Amino acid sequence: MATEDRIAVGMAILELILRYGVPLALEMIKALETNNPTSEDIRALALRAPHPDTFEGGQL
Amino acid sequence: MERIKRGWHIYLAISACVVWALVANGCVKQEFRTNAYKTLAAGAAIYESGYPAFLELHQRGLVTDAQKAAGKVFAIKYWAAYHASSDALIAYDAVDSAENKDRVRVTLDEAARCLSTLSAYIQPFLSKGVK
Repeated sequence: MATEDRIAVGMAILELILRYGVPLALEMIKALETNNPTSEDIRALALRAPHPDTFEGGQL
Repeated sequence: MERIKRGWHIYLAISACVVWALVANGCVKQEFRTNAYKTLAAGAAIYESGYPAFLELHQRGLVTDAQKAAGKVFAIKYWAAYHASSDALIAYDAVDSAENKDRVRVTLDEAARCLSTLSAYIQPFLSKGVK
C-alpha cells in the first residue's frame, strides 16, 4: 500500500472514530450511569438496536 | 403477653430477619434489573456505532462484499438475540417471576455472546481499515 493510500485509510478511520466513537462513548456513559432504570427506560430498550438492513436504508 | 415480653429478643431477631430478607430481595431484584439494563443499553450503543462504521468502510472499498456479508450474518444474530433479551427484561419488569428471570439470564447470555462475536469480527476492520 502506497504512503498516500495509508494516509487516506488513516484519515478515513479517524473520521469514523470521531463520527461514531464520540456518540458511542457518550451513550456508554449514559447507560452505565443509570442506576435505577424506570420501567419506561426498560421499555425503551425495545426501540434500540435496529435491524442491520435499517443502516443500509433497507426495509424491515 | 407475658411470653412475648420474655421472648422479645427472639421476636426482634425474627422481625429483623424478615425485614432484611424483604430489603435484600428488593435490592437483589433492583441490582439484577439494573445490570441487565446496563448490559443491553451498552451493547445497543456498541452495535449502533460499530455496525454502521463497518458498513461505511465497505462503501469506501475497505471491506469486501464477502466480508460485509459475513459481518451482516453476525449483526443479524445479535439483533435477534438483543430483542429476545429486551423482550424478556420487559416481561420480567412487569412480572417478577423465576421463569421470567431465567429467561432474562439465558437471553442476555446469548446477546452478550453474539455481541462479542460481532465485535471480534468488526473490530480489526475498524482499527486497521485493511482488507
